Amino acid sequence: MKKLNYAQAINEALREEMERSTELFILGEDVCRPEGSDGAFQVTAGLPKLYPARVLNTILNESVIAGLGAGVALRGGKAVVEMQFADFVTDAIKMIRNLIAGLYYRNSIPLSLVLRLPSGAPGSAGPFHSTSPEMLFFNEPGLIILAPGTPYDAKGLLKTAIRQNSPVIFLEWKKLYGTSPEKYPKELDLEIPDEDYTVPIGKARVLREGKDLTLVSYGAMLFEALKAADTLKEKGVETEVIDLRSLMPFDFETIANSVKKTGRLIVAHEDKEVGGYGGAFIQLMSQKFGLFDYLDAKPIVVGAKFTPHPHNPILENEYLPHADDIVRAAEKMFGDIHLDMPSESDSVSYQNRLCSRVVQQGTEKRVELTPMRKRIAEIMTEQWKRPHIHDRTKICFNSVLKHRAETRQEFEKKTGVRLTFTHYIAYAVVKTLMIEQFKPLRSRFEESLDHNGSVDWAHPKATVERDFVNLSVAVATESNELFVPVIRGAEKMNFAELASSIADSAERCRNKKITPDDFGSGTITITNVGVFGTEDGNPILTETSQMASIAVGEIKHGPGGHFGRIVMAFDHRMLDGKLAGEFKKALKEFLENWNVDIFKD
Amino acid sequence: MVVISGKTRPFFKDFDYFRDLQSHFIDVAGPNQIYSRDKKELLELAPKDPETLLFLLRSMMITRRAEEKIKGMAGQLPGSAFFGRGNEATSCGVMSAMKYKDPAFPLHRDLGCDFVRGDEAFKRGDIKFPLANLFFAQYMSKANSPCRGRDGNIHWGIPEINRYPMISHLGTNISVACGAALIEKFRNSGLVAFTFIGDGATSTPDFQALNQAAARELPLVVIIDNNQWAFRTTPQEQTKAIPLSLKALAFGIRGFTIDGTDILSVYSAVKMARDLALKGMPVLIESVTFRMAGHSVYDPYEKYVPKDDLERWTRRDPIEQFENHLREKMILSNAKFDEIKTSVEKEIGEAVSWAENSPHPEPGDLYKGIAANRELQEFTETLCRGDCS
Repeated sequence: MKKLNYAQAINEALREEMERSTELFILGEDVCRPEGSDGAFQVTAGLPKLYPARVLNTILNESVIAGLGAGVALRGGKAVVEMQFADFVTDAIKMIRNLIAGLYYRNSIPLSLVLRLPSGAPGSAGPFHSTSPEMLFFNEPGLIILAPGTPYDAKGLLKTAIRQNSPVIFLEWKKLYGTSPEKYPKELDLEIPDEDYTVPIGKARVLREGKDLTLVSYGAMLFEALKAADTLKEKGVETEVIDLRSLMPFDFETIANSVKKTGRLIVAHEDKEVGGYGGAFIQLMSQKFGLFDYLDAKPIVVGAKFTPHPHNPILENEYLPHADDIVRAAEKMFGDIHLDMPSESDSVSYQNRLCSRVVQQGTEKRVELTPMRKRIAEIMTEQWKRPHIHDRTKICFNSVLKHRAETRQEFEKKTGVRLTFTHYIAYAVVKTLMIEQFKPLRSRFEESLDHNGSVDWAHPKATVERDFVNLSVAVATESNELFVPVIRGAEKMNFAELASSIADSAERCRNKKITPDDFGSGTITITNVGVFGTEDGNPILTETSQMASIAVGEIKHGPGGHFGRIVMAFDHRMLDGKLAGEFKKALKEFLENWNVDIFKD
Repeated sequence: MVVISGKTRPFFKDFDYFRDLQSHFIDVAGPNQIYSRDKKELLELAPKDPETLLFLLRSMMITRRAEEKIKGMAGQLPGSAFFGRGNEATSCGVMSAMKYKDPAFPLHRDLGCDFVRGDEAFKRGDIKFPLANLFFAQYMSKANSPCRGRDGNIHWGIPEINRYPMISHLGTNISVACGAALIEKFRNSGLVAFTFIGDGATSTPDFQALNQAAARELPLVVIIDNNQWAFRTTPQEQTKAIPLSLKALAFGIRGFTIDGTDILSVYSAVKMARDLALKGMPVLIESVTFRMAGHSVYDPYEKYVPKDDLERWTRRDPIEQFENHLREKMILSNAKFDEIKTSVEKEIGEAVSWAENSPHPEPGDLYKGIAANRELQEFTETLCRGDCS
């Protein structure tokens, strides 16, 4: 194993492939001389001496250089041709885009041809020695575009490129040529094996894993990307940094998997943000690979400003993208409330933003939220945005009480379930809901989403009628946990089944045997708040799919018998007071005149 | 200083292609050596055996007939058509003088090259169908044509017989031919790469590839099809270096200007050039003819090409000239001529039928074979799929 700088790694790749392929030619301006450090960037050092017939200085004409490479390759040889600076490839665009790229498509002629382009801004090289040329080739089908950012990848990718037979645009980064390996961040500082190795085309490399943000970059910009990731880590954002390595084809799978995890994407490159690689990449990732489904925030491209490339270091610093541009872009995605670390002076303003005046007294202890409380906060806040109306009715439970007294022992013997008021109410609710008239109460909306991906409650798209009832029964455990598990297909169950299901799910909540499948798609919730001594309580809808929720208050003895109030919260978008009232009336009648044989029906 | 054998006529002032190449050719052998040489010196290298001579005649005839046939079908063919009417002696002469395996890069008025090589290729079994079949299938953009519908008209190539395609950007072929010459020299294969360029395209940047061929002493012959029209522009609007072989001086290579309507002159000049190229001296041959049709089938050339020019160059029609020459030499009889004519008609007729019965590509063929590299091909196909939901 050894450490080489970028130029040395490419030199080694060329040397090894010259040895391996007897008809590989290296052509370009000034690739020969001075002996031992040949080439404008010494990338071809030593090669002319070893292979004098196959490493040749060409004339000064980039179109001819590219054509020479094509001629050698179409006769079955291999060619690595150099454009001394990527900026000078423009004379060869005609040859590359029109002749070379489509030669296989039009005439079935494969070309083992690599065009090496020293690219990027080394610093004060001016407008004609600093370009990132990838977009000159990106939309010409048939061209591979590679952009290694480390010596390891440069050597491995160049070898792969030479050995295969589609034309390759090989972008090398001038800034990295002489960078000594010691200066590399650890993620880029890969040792180079002594034995032969290649790097596959079309595969990105995850430099660093993270769950909050996907940062895609390539070439010299990787250094800035990693710096930005370090800064963001201090602010509490875990960034997943990915080195694309291959711009065409590109590794959509790795990127998609990353964004599925993080929900946020930044593409950072040295090329201009206008019409640069990032824009095309995001468009294709969205249109072809489903990126938008995974995004929680808009994707951002961080690139150079849309001005010509300046010479003065101050101007160039303004022009080029840096780590802090990436950090600023990330901050936009998260909102500064998460990124600000409350410091001594900041905490007051932080609290003031929450419209709460803070006065220091006593002691405060900061405690992390449990996942359950986080979840409840999320759900309740979101559901509260729906227009809740609360209607109440007093029900006489004499009939139910009498029936329960007569049947509870036998019922418990037969089913093992202790009969409660909740069971009677649940059965009544389910049966009443299945009446055709009350279909709206068991329907749900197809909600629309706003441009941020949140539910736009004011504009539901359509009503979805359902011919089933998924009954949710709230369960409060001893340890103050709140669960609202769902009993699916309650309308099909007879009384015994329903009562057993309710008892069973409550038991599983208490024993922590409840699973994610026990939640979701509920039609209506029944919460018995009476057992806690509440006379009547206004319930909150807890699920997007439910239109109503019933809270059962304390059933007390009073003049005339046992009475209890039920309060029904309903979503006024779906039903109005009339239907809600009629439902409660039907429910009341059902319960006040109990005539269901609980052992049969 | 200019040395002109026999005369010191400053022909560069009033050099006339029609008049001055009838009995002489121009030899640019170096800065102080620009000769006007007797054509007879050249013709010593010409073939003499009747079989070869009749083959040369037939090649020109079938080239012309094939193009006439295309002209007749133009309205039914997709896209444009290009004709080298008047250039048959140049194209057939060049290809006959080169070797069967020499890398060839013909242009759009060099169809004769294809018929000459195609004849031998079909005999050897290197192509499965007569070249005429492939030609018509190509113009009809059929699935079994050399381009399989991916490029049209004369942009075809048949790499198996070392015949490489052109693209519309003229001149690029010179750089590529130069690359082919580079590797063949390295291989010591004894092969010479050759290509063509028009009088107009001698102005394109890739013409500079001759510098590369010269500096590295590559086996390359470049033939200028000087038919005196570059679309609607004359050579005089293109350059002051007339005859165009003078441009060889700038590259330090050998140049000839020859009568391109005389197939034996062409053959001989190219033979000479090939030997020179093999020894490391690239050669630029200006073969002078006249464009007897428009730039493309849709170009109304009668509106801008002077009628007198068309008339006098008709008298120098390459096929008629050679036909007369062979009759004089008693190599061609009426019967023989009719026999050739009939066989040409038959070959063309069969080729057209074959091509008409050939299948068109399927829509799905659009996505196949975009890249030889598997990763790029798969990814490109993925991008061509419909959008995700």
